[in-house]
Amino acid sequence: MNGPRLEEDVALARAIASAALSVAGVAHLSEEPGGAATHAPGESIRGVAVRRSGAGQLWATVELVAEYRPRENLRDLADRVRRAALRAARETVPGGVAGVDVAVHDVAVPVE
Amino acid sequence: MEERMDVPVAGMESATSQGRTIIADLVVAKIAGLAAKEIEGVHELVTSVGETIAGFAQRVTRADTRGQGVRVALEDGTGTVDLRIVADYGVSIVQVADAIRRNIINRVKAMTGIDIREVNIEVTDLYFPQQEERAEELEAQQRRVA
Repeated sequence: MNGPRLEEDVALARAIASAALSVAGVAHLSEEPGGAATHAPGESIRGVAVRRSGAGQLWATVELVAEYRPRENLRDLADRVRRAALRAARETVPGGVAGVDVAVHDVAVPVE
Repeated sequence: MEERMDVPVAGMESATSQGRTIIADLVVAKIAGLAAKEIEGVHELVTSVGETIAGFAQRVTRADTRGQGVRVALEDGTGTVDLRIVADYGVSIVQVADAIRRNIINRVKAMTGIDIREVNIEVTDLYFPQQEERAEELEAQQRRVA
């Protein structure tokens, strides 16, 4: 079936969002207007988008706000988020997603 | 939608076989701003001439202004940082500027892997600790007159 498989995308986005949030160093997912989001009836998952290529390949985007940790490399954090997202996707749909783009949009700094 | 989506932020991008990583300019600006403020002798960052971050934040409440006062330009894995500060009166501005520069370079490298090649620091004002007391006194006087 070639129809829009909305439910599958929403399930994927939900699983990826929750996996990303569970990674230490992620403050929250980005909620920037116009940013990545997955919208569904009665629900929207901000900071995560799932898309399909013409060949049906799945790809995800995660946009996040990191905690400010001076000794931590944000690229390593992004890699951990990517691995967690890939794992969550595999557990949600057969084959999972082919890749995950991770954007660190902002850092949450401690309140002085 | 076959094409990969554009991430609608300016930043530094690196690719892996399983997806790209993007570090937004704002992230680098915030790290640089915090690194500058860590240095003793930096009173505050300046968002525009005559306007300190504190004053700006008071006017625009709830707005996040920590990227303000720092301009970042990223290109080919390296970057340039421009910032304006108010220095505490009595410090060696040359030494403070040098410390800011090194702390920004270290912090940005450690947190993002980006090499900052240039940090331009403009000291726009000096802060005298008595300034605030005097301002408070003046305010109190004005209240008495009014």
